[in-house]
Amino acid sequence: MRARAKALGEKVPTKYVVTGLTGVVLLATAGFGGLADAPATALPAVGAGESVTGAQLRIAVERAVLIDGFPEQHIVPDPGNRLLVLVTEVENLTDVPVSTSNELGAADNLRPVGVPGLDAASEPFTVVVLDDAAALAELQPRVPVELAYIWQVADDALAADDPIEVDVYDKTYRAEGFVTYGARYENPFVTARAELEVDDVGAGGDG
Amino acid sequence: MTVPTGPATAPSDDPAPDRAPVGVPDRVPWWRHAISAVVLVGLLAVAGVVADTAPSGGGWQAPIDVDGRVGETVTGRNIEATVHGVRAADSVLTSNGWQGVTTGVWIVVDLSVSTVVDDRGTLLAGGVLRVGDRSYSASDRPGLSVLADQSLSVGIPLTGPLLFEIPRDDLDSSDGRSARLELGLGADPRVDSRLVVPVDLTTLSVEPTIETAEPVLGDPAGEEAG
Repeated sequence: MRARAKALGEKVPTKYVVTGLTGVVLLATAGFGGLADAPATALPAVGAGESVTGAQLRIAVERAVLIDGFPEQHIVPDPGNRLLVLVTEVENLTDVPVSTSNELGAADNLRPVGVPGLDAASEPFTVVVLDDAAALAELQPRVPVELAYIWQVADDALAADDPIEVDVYDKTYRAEGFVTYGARYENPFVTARAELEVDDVGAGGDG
Repeated sequence: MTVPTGPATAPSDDPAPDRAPVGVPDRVPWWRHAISAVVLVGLLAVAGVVADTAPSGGGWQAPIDVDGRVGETVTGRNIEATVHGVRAADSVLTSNGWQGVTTGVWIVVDLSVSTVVDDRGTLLAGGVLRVGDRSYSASDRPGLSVLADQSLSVGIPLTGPLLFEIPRDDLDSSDGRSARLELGLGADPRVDSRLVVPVDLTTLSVEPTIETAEPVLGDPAGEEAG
């Protein structure tokens, strides 16, 4: 029995076998949609105050405010610009503190969409704790904090009651590696879109 | 007279008539195979045990913990600290006028800390309160009125508060009973001394507000430094 199979195998050239198998596999994919594009899933849309739960953070964008500046806290835009402030509640869902800095922390998780002068790569001017304007604070595990994400925008970029969309990002977890110390969250990807209206508070009060 | 025949010319009988012909190797007895197999399995088992028990990456880079208690002076390689007390509050007012608001609760640790061998670039960056699996870092929101990230000196203790924000639930949980305060020089605690002081969070009562004093050099409690 084995000798006969071996003899048969020797007669058929390998390239016929490989081509035949490839053809069979391709035909089989027809049962699963073939080579058509996978349908793109629409981004979930959230309103003001609704939270988006990611792998690392739970973020709820509460309101969007245009303001001239926060002079008492020394957060002042360049001349000709105003500040776009997104007031959010952020909760750290992990077991270790998370910073609010760019590229490592929570500053990566929000980006306004469709605002003239800002794009997905625009890092916030600063991200501060709303109560005491502390910058570069650390988000402690399971302690929700109100953060103000602040961008500089041109004077005429936005007006009161303009609709604004904000992309909420999530990050993927990467465990500690042989040459890297500590697990990290990286590669932000858009996970939801928040839709809000901008309030213009002129120069007064804090956001 | 007979000429004795030499051994070379004597016709000789094959001394081992059942030996295999030239060119075929001798058959190895079955028990030799068995012994080889047993030795192989034994070596594999030993190798497995060694590989399993050898320190892993985390093991040979682990921090060197020095245990102590509240009120004792705990000394590591280049850090020495005395934890004077631990309190809990809803809100904290620090010496520079900062008022702390949190959705959780503030844990205020009063301590004196100094370095031991050198003070070049030594900051208290490694203050961590570990509760169960979670670790909370010392808050730097109050700025210079807390010891977090402050520069330390050799032999001269810096006395002041460290503030930690934790969820209110941790005050009543079993994890809170076995919480630990870990103090190190760097935010990266590996391969250096780390002072560990156990703190029972369940014994703390939450005060409505606490005022903390300004960090000072020297130890006002009067304990000997170093």
